[in-house]
Amino acid sequence: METKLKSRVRDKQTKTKLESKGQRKVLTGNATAAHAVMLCRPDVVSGYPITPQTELWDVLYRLVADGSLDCETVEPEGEHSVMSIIIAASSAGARTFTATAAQGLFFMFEPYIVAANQRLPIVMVIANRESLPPMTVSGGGQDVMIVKTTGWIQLHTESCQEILDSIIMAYRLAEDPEILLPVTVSYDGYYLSYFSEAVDIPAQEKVDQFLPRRERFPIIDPERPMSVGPWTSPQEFTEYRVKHMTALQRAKTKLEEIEEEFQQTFGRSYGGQIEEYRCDDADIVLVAMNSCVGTAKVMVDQKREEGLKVGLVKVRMFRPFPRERVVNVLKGKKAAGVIDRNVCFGWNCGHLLVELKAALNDSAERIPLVNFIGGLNGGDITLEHMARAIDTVNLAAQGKAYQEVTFLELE
Amino acid sequence: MEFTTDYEGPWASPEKMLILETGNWRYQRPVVKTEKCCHCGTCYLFCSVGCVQDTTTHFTADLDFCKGCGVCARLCPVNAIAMVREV
Repeated sequence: METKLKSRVRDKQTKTKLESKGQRKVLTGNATAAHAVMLCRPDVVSGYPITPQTELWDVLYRLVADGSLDCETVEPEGEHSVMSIIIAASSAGARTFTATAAQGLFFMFEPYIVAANQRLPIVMVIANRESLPPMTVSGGGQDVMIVKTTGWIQLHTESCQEILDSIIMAYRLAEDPEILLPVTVSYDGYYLSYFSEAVDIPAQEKVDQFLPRRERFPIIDPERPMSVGPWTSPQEFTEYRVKHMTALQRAKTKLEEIEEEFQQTFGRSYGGQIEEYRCDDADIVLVAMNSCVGTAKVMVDQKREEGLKVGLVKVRMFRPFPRERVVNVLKGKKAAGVIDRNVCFGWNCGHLLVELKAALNDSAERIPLVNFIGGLNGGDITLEHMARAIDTVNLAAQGKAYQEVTFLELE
Repeated sequence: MEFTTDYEGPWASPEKMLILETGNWRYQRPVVKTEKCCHCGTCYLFCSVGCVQDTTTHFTADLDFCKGCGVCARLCPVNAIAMVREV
């Protein structure tokens, strides 16, 4: 008995030592997110199981159970209640976390909007999944795209390491006095949620230093009664909307400021709102988001070796849309291929194409934008798909006729 | 652009709500027959905007805030309140 206890104490001491230096672990995307949340020390977490993010709660509750994270956990009967609890906790000044996907998000939709309009610095994970029916639990970007105009900030991630780093940055961004908005960190269901890779977990002290507790106002406080979401005149209502939109616009450069500090502290950076990969001298570029960016990078390298001047733009911040930076990087390019893992009903193309078309209206040049929709319902976006996309964009750049939208699965 | 709201989001001190003269919404007003009023306080308890005031001998509604819903007249046990149409 005694020896068991001693060894447990020793284990704990070794663990603490590792924690002070940071660790390198092989983790799935979900487990990475759970570890990131642990490092950010939320006061209240609440979630409901739904594929493909359930594993996140499995790992997070283990971390709470073994004492690595000290926080309130609430297990309600569904996602609508989850977000309502998180809104209440955040209104009372707590640092909060939740996660969901697809149908869970749609069930959460009503309080999801309240969170943004009430300017609460909530951080949540959406492990992207297709919307039903037909029956699916597989990956696809549809859920997070449907909620793109709810006033939340959206960060999209390519790798497990980026999930961890983005969640830490998301708290800084959300709680910034100039921003005060909820942030969604999204990653592809299955492709990233269950994908294991080595992740650098920074030391707790470093994260504490980077993410200090901040007094924020307003919060619910019995000493200082407040009306939350009171009746307003049309003028006041408009002011709240303008302030909300101003904060969203400010979030673009704010992310880059935070990321600069992040790089100084942790030595990693992702380029801010967008990542420009081999774009400087490129004639054509691919624009993509989420996990398929990795595949695209490999194919860009391969095509570069063949002598084709191709680059890649990864959109990290989808809301607010990085309009200025996208226009800037596409300046002088001859054509762009846009990879979408979702469909935008009503526009007959993917969401990213709609955004790019809107952004490029700021630019005097009109370049061919070729849309490729793939990876729906857990389908692969393969190297071969990327190669075909680049070849098609290359032909469009030379003035050849092109089809605006190509469904990769149906080719 | 000049903003008049204090906070970034829709948060406000509760005093601010008192500035809203909800009495503007009214199409009928409660008139208390003071000699009939038994000073029981039912109208005071049930008034949805909390505008009923105690004059120590009877109750009366603050017409700046009374919306004219008529709950006081309906609940008054001695029928001391009549709803009179605003003209």
